[in-house]
Amino acid sequence: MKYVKTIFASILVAGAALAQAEVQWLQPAASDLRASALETNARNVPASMHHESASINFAWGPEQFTDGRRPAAGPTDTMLTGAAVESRQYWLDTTGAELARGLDLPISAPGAVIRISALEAGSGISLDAERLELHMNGRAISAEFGLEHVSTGHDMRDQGMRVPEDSLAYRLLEKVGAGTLRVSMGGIPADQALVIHVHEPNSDWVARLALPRHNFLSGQALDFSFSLGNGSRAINPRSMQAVLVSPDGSQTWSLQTGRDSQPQLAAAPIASRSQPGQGLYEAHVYVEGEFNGQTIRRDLTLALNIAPAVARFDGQVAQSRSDGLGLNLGVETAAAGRFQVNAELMGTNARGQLEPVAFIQSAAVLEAGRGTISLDIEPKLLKQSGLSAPFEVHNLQLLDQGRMYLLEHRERAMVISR
Amino acid sequence: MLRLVKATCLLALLLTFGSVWSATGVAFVHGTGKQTNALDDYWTSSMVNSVRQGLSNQNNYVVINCDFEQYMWDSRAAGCLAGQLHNFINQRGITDLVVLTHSNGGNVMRWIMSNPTWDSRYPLIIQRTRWVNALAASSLGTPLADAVMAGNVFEASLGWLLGYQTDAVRMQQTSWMQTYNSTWLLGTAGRPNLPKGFWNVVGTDVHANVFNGASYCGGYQFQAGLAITQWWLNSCSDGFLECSSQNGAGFLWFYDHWRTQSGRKLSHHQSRRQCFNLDVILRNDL
Repeated sequence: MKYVKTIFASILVAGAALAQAEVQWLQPAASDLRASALETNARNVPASMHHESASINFAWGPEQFTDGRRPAAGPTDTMLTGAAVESRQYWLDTTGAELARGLDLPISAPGAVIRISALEAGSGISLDAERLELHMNGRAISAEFGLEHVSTGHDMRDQGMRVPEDSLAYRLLEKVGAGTLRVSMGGIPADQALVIHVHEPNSDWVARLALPRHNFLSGQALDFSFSLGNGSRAINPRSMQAVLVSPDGSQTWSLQTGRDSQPQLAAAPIASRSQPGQGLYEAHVYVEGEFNGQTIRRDLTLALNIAPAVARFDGQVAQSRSDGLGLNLGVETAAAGRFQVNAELMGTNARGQLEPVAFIQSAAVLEAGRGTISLDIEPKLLKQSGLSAPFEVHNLQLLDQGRMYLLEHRERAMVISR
Repeated sequence: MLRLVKATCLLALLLTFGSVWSATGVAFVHGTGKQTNALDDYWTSSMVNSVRQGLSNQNNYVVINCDFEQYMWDSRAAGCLAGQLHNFINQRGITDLVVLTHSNGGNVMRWIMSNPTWDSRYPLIIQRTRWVNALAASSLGTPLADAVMAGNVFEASLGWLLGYQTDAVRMQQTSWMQTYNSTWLLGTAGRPNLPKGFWNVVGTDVHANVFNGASYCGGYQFQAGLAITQWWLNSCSDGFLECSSQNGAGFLWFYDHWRTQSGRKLSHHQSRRQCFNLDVILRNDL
């Protein structure tokens, strides 16, 4: 009997080893997001806000969405890679006294749109177009205030544009051209805080700020790329300010800008008292440059997320079913929470090329330490695809649902050979 | 002969009771704002009543009322929407749900479709959904949110800059939507498809001319106002959203002028009103 048990155990061990051998992790790529170590300071890990406790697995095929309707086109491709913003606009903070004396605004192209607002709602001030005086390069000019003169804050709010009620917008006529615009308006309390927004939709001068991706782990370097140009020529700004702001706005970190005007921060910080699900970090950059005597001013805001390394894949994986496809993925966690795994399963077609089989999402509540999240695909979905082994798992992601962090992203994660 | 009789009987049964086996329903999902009576305040009864004429059981409709001033994942936003859809499906036995969203309502619905494991109510909603018809969806955000949020943090108080707007407005800044589209939301270019269709109706312009009849559908004052907000947008826009954002996720169903009466264009206000046959197009889709 003992002999039979030994043989049986040996078969089980061999079977398990074989199953292990059929699925293999690939080496992470340099561009993958992955923690080298988990967060050890509990104060840097906010409490999880998840509500769901049930383990849920959901998978669907790439063609499941059409249901017989033929698309006229796919989604618009913005052609922006990574995280990137472009700007043809800037803001200026001022007061009633300064506006009464007159403010000079650099305008780089005809047709600029300008909004003056009270800094805070409910100021009760009147921003009357009749009192507005405009001079472009010393010459008095008029502006466009829209049909029926409906460019007040109240009118814009009616359309869903949440400017303060105490606002006035106008557009410079094309014939006015570019240069220095002097704006003045009397009758506003001297200490009233105001903000002026200048948008230049027709300007060739565009500032651009980018990061290679949207999500970072604390401690990773933030290396931004910045440019200011008009399509044919780039210029170095004569002044630049750059800062990273926490989601609640209570903390800021200066970004270093060297001679090459590329903002950077050696180690992404974690805001103290950070609350999960309450927004993103923002990088703000303010620049001013000059070209042929014309000042060009631009402001940029780029959103990003920074997460403490709460969890990561621990390198363990096992196939969990013989029909369909199932994977048990080992996860190492620094704190309890509800964790989500996303995966794109690719299969091999008759020509030996990889094609999408399904997108799989699975989530479960895990305690601190080590746990497992299972990915399951029903045999029907696998059969429908008409694809076969070898399979690959692409864009494997580990997310923290209760804290809204992306913790790991592996572009090409594993090969399943069976 | 017997086989022919059986087949004829089966066909007659299918034609008679087919609607019982497949109960079609329609849900109207509003945009940004906290709604308590979206039927009157957001959609209008004439729009809703016209669209639901396409149902074999015209009582199979629901008008959602939630707080979409919150972030899309908030329990008062996606949680509230999921609760009302889940109840509607269960109480009326809906097996074939068509969801009509407007503006930011598309983002909240897309949150549910992109994150089926977030909430145990989500899988049933997704399974029973035939597709989403997204009217003027705010999938890539809007430059208008950028314009009202930003300011100079070196000059102004940060508290003002960040506390002035609601979470829904913060979320719809273009850079923020880029981040969420890259991580938590599906269906944008280069990302996996959503589990069910997300079909975009794109409004391409704003008519605001006292001599143009199209300017009066939904109210002339709204058209005049949207012609102003269009100053911050590019040439293809509905006065609140650029066309690229309206078709930023899912698939293009049609640009307004392809299908509307006389090729009229739909402003952001008109895409939730009984304007230029839009209601009939949506009705016929049920």
